[in-house]
Parts: sequence; structure tokens; C-alpha cells
Amino acid sequence: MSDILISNITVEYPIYDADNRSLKKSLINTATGGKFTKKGETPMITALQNFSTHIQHGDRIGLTGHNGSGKSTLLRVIAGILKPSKGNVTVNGSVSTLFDIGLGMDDHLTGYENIMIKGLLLGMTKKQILEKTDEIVEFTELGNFLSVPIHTYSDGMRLRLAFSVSTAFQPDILLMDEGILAGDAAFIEKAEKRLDQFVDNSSILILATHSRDLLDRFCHKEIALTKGRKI
Amino acid sequence: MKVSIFKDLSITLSKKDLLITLSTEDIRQRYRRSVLGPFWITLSMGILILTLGTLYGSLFKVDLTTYIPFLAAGLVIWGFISQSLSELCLAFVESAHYIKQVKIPLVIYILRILVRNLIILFHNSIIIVATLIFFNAALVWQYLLIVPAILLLFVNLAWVGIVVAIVSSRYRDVSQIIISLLQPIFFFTPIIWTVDLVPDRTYLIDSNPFYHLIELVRAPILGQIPSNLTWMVVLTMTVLGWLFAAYFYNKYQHKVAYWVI
Repeated sequence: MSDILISNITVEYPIYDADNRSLKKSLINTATGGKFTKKGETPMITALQNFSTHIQHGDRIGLTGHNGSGKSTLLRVIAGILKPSKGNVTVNGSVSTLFDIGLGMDDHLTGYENIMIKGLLLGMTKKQILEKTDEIVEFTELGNFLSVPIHTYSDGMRLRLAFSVSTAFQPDILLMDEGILAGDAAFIEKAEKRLDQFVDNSSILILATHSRDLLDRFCHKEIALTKGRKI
Repeated sequence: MKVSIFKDLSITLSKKDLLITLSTEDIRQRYRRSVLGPFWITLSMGILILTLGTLYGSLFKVDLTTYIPFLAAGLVIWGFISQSLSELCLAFVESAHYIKQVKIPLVIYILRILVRNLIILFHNSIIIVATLIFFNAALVWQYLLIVPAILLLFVNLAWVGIVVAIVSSRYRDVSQIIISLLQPIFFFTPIIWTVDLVPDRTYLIDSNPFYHLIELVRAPILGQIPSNLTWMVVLTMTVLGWLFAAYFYNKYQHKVAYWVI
């Protein structure tokens, strides 16, 4: 059984400018004693504040809220990419992230090589990827194009490739950003079917979205965020 | 204290397919459209050694049969060290795209750079083999020491890499500072000049950690055993360095994602 328990987390992003990015300037500031250059604390943006929730097996959650309300931050915290400055996160189950479909796609490598790298990044072993390759190849409908470097591909072709690999392996917990659903109209119908199935098979889905349609289609619960808090 | 670095290293080793694929693709990508492939660097390194070898050999008035293998070994090992160090500074900054999106131990980005440079080192070692054969070097048991020596060099670069990559993701000018230090270190370390050219200044050489790292690998290549001092310095660096890197990694690994965002 997968579940996610988030208790009272706060996530703050430090904001750096050219001055506190530089070791030289930081050292000079320390040496001059801060008379003219006020060496204050690094400014912080609070992305999530005292946020708690319990997501259980079978939940299909839609995360909604304005830009900057903390949706992506929450996804990254659950994925283990960001560690909150306060609070605890416990995640049971394998997690897969679909934030940017282009991750691990390398222009100079062929379609086949990209399938391998992207699969490995998603946490698969070489053997598992080789077993799935035929299925991925078929789904992309790219045929012989897979043997040439992907800088020759159109945007639509890239999306096909990336999407096919990303959805070929089934995690317990799927974290998704709606951005990946934009693209090629001809492919989108096929992709949506696959996604339906993909979502059905995962035990928890969390989708960050602005779109009512997507929310109605994939989710049955909504967590609305505003300024890093639950509404 | 929970030592997360060793946990992360074991996860990384279990993801060796990913590590090896990333490292070899880096190399293949770099030389995709050239006929000689990775051997381009080997060729240019070979030309450098041949020209520098005859030039400095006659300037220092030393015997070319010992000087050219010495120079070849030194330059190839230094190439590995300096290239690795300058790439390691940017290990996390340049992997920001990955760090922001997938949860993989940070050490994989360090090892990726080291493995790819190790592959280049193996390509370049052809030059050393060629000079040894050309100057009729005898086959000696000391060659066996090359393997543990390279391993120790690798392990030391790894802890240095962890530390500098973390620092440079917070302070972006650190990589420029380190890269600009590499040039003076190169001239300060006996690579193009030999130790016996400065008999009265051995303390300058003995206190240089880069000398010991290079000498550890170079001595067995030239059929000698590295001195006890060299072994001691390198082994001490390995232990203290890893203790420090483990502490540093434990303390700052979770900040890196915030720093590179």
C-alpha cells in the first residue's frame, strides 16, 4: 500500500544575487565588517508554509492554484528533490516524476540511445528497458527515425519519443505537471488513452494543473493552494 | 551521525548502468562526427609530448630515453587530474536540469565526470605504452602497482570533487578560482622538470600533494616503486579527505537542489 504523509512542512527558497553568489565578495564583506555593505541574511521566499496532508492509496489528487502558489514545490518535496526546512515527509512506494518531458533527451544522440538514457534516469535497469524497447518503438510510430540523432526531429516527434518512454514504466506514485500534456494534436488522443491506463495502474496520482478539464478527467480530489497554504 | 554519503555511493553503484551509459555517451557525443573519435585527444597529446620532449630534453640536457617516458606519463596523468578537477567544479551546476527533476544521489554526477575522464586516461595511456616500447623498457613487476595507484588517485579526486562541486554550486566564482590555480600548480609540480634538477629544494616538492598523487602512478609506470613518503601522504589524504567529504556531504547535500535552482 502506498501512502504519503506530510506534516507541517515549510519550504523556503533562498534568493541569491550576484553579490552573495560570489565567494570573493562574501569574504570581502566579512573583512570590512559590514559598515558600508550591510551583510544581511539571504532573502528567502516561502513557497510552502506549515503545510500538512495525508494522501492515501488510490487517491487521484489535483493540485490547483495560481502560479507561484507552491504546486511544483510540493511535487518536488514529495519526489524527495527538495528537503523542507521544517516538518516531515514520509513516502511509501516508488515515485516517478513527469515534470519536464524533455529530461534526459540529448540532441546529439539517436532515438534509441535516448530511450536508454531516459529509461535509466526513470530508475529502470538496462534489461528492463531492452524488454520494453519494442513496445516503446511501436508507440512512438517513428520507425527508422529512431536510428538518427534527435536534433533532426520536429517538436512533435520529440514529444512522441519522450512521452512514450516516460509512460512505459509503471511507478506506484506518479507526480505529474500538466505541461507535459501540451503538444501535437494527432498524437494527443493516443497519448491520453495511454495516460488513462497509466494513471489507472498507479496507486497514487498527483497532478499539478490549471485546467478544469484535466482535473475532472484524472482526479477525484482537489488540493487548492494559495501562497503556500491549503485553502 | 547518519553517514549518507556511503548510502548514496551504494545506490549509485546499484545504478551502474546509468552511470556507465551517461559517461560513455558523453564521450561518444563529443567525437560523434570525427573519424579518429576519442583518439583525437590522444593524437594531440602525443604531438605535445613529442615536441615538448625534444625541446625540454635538450634545454635540460637530459637523456631522452628516460626523459620522454617520464614526460609522457606525467602529462597524461596531469591531464586526467586537471581536466577532472575543472569539470568537477561544475558537476552540480551543469546537472541542474537533472537535479531539479529526478531524485538520484548527487554523487552520480561526480562519478560520471570521473569515469568519463578515466576512459580518456585509458585512451591516452597508449602514448605511454608507445614511448615505453620505443625506448625498450623491460617488463617489470612494478607495473602491477599501477592498478592500485590509479584507484587511489580516482578515490582522492572523488572526495575533492564532492567538496568542490558543493562549494561551487553555492559560490559560482569558486570554479574560476580553482581553474586559474591549475596552471601554476602544473608548473610548480615536477611534470616537465624532474626532481633531481632541484636537489636543494626537495621540501617544496615533498609538501606538494599533487606531486605525490602524480608520482604514485608515474613511478610504477617507469618501473620504480613510489617512495614511502608518497604512499603515506596519499593514504592519509584518502582517509582524512573522505572523512571530511562525508561530513560535508551530510551537511550540505540537501541544500544543493536549492542552490542550483
